[in-house]
Amino acid sequence: MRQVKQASKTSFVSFFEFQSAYLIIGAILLFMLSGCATTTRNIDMNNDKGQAVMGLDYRDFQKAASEAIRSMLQSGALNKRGGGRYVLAISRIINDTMQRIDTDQLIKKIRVELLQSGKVVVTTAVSAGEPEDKMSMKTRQLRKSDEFKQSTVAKKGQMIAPDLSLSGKIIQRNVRVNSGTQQVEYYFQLTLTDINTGLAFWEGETVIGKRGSNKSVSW
Amino acid sequence: MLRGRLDNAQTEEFVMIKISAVMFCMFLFLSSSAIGATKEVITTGKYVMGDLDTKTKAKKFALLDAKKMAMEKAGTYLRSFSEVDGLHLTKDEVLSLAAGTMSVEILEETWEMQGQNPVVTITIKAKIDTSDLDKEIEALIAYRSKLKKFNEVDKTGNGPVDSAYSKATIIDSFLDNEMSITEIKSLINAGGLMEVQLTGVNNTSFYKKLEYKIKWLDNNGLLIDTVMSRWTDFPAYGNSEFGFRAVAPKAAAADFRIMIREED
Repeated sequence: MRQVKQASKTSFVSFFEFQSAYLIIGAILLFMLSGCATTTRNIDMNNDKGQAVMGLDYRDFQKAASEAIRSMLQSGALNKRGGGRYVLAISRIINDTMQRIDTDQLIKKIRVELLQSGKVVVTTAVSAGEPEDKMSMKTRQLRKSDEFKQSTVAKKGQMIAPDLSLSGKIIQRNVRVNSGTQQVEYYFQLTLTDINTGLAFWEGETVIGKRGSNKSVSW
Repeated sequence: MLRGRLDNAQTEEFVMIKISAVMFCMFLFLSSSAIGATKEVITTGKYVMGDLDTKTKAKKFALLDAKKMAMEKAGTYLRSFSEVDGLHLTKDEVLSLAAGTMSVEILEETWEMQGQNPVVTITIKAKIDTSDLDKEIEALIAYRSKLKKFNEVDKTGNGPVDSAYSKATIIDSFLDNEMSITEIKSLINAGGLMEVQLTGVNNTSFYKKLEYKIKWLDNNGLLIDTVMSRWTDFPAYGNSEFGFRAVAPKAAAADFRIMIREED
């Protein structure tokens, strides 16, 4: 009888030992998992002190764009003789980097600021490739349609041809510093050409350099 | 008799030792006053981190605290220096200059928790070299005479000089002693846009990377939203003038406010 009691007591204790060991392992696993999780936060765009990256991020585009705008406005290249605004067409912006970049990340900022400066109006009907907005031409096909009130259809000879063209290139150059470090240089080169004469009214270059580990990739 | 001679000899020896000791002390005193250049103090600075503070910023403030205490400790010494020199500099001016010539060695840096917040404690050994201070004082005098000229121009209305500090703020308090804004010029350029140029002086002997941000305001004092209102870095080389030039994004800009801080 005593033996049976002893046996049941032993199994009772070992059951609790097993349970507590299970709980401890569970707690450790939970702790490890919670340690791995990175909380998502919105970036404070006005005061972003986040670590720099080897690739191009929005801060680099902001820097390149604002420097180009400042230089353009200071140079006087956008001051039209007799007042008024220049009409600007966006030409080719070549992405010569190892990254997949939509060059509008740079150009849109410049366009918005130039438009707001009151110095320039951008045409979306003409471009080096296809027009940015095909509707300007497309709606002119309505001239033959009986379904549309013809007085509301765009008239002939109303479009304004561009005076200036903005072209440019983004270049990337990788330099090996030593076995563990690399240097990546980005060149934002822009040119403003007077379409009438073919002369460059303004040219600007912003260089952004980054030095970091070879392990981080810049494409 | 023999005992008396021995006593005399002992007394002479004692007197000789005494004279040697006095001469040695005088030598030490004279040599130290001849060098007269360095004051060394050990102090500890502390900073309790808030929710929005970064570790770098906390270290910077703790170091600043330690530097301030070092300057307070060395204060009497520096005040007497300025009086001897007869240059009529205020205590704050001398301390501010000394901050620039101070070389700091961090002896210890500790991090601990105080309730919910991390606290950084930094112990430093600060050396203040008055030979460098001499040069700094000369530079200050030169800068003052220049500033006087600018102020005269302002009073006569010969130049569009805005009084410094009224439109520009150094938002990092620890830079107050290290950087001074000397001049802000503004004009309307040929294209009808306002242009601003700020000039200042880095009173320290160290290179610093600073950032500025300009808020452009229209005639009604309303803020103009622009991508050009962003933190832009510029260099401030040691013991030199620094400056930058900016242009307003549109002709409607009639006023501005400049903020300056040190880049992290």
